Amino acid sequence: MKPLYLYPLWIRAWHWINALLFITLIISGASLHYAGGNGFLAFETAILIHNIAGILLTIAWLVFFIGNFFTDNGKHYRIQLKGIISRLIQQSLYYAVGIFRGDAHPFHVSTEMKFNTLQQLTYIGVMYTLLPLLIASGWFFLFAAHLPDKIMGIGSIWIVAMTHLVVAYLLILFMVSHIYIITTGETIFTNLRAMLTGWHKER
Amino acid sequence: MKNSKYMKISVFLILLTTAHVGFANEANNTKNVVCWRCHGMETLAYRDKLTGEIVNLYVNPQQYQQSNHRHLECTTCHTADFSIYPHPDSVKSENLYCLDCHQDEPKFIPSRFPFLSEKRAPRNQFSEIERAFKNSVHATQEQFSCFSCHDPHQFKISRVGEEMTEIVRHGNEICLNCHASPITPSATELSLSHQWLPNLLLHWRSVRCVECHTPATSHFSHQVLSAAQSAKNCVQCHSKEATLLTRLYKYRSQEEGQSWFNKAVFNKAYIIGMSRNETIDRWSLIILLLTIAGLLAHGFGRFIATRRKNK
Repeated sequence: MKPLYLYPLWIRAWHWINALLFITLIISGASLHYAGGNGFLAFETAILIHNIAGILLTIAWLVFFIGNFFTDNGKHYRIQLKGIISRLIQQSLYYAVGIFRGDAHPFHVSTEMKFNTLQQLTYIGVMYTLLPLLIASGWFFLFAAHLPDKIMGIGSIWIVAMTHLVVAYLLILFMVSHIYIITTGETIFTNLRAMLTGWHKER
Repeated sequence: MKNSKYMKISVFLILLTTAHVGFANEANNTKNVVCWRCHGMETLAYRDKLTGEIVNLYVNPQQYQQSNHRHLECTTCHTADFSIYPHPDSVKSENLYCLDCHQDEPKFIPSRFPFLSEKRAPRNQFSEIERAFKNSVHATQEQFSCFSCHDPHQFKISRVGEEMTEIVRHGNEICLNCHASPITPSATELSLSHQWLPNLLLHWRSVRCVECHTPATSHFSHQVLSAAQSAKNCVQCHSKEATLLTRLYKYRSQEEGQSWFNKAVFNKAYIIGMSRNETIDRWSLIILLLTIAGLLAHGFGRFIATRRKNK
């Protein structure tokens, strides 16, 4: 198969910066959430790191969002509704059964669509729902002093905090799954290499 | 006609009830009402000839009637020649001190502490207060007395049941009356010296000054600490074993009774590091671990399948 240039430099830079920020935010966030426990960062250090990394994550997300408007990368996030259910079932069955039997991958990467349907829906959920929620709740945290005391009888900081926490847990879950799923390419390193070099190569 | 008669009777009964309530309130403070005729006027004050300062003589009757001292007549504490009117100059030298009443007289020592059972409540609370105060930075100030912070005309030992923001506002108002007085440069100094606190405004709105500026003891200490001695350790509040739970948050635990830790957590306040929702944390970690285990098992399955295929 002819090598495909799927990941331009800005996407790769954004991806790895995002990955670094995710790890930084998880470590500093856990240090804040489980403050006082052993093996975590000092609270005052963690809060500084978390705030800076959070602001950088916002910038990174804006780069992604705007980049998808001005480049053709956005097309990979447009859902093709026709046959979506069967594609989802097909992909799920492959991960659940076919992958162990050595079946051929049901989806073939192309410059028109680099994500399989399951991947696409997950990324859309992460990038257009979970991350905006995480970022918005993070900014509300930063300006918590200006929030009203209560929203519909519940403490506003409580709502913000629980949203931030639950979304953070979901994103950790995504990150763990994402790290594993990238090993399911033609070889374990096919997808990782593609995100490093930009070129997707298969035999 | 009949309706009109009933209306007249109703109006009469309402008036009678109102008059009775008014009379009852007055009867509880019969002697105080005489004092409040003048001292209940917000503008009552005079300029001290010696110091040139305005001396405020106003007592808010409503606040007094909600205070811990509400059952006392004014003359219980003000024993100088106040019965003479106009008051003679000699009353100016009246020197009141809380311990005059609270030191030895058991009935003036609160039997019920807002947070502690009677068994745990220190019997000699006021002696402890005095001892703590003597070690306080305030003790170095001349003419500093209990009244510098506590207005006996509106003092309430327990504010349980009030909104937390109101408790914090009231507590901090006592400090800010002096420490952020607009006629001193202290307001700016105060902001500068607290710059190290992340989200300063939120801290000032959410916790009382005394949370950090008194020692972390099981009950409130009157030993106000110097800036250098005050708490600067974030995890003192931002951790599961937060001292805040034994201090400000006692109001909440007292207010809401059982399961006070969870109540504190589920209520409107959220404190990073302290307010952990055990259920969310537990289930999130279980799901995360199961996911990791599932992925590892999946990977192992793939490894075995590939090896078999290659054979």
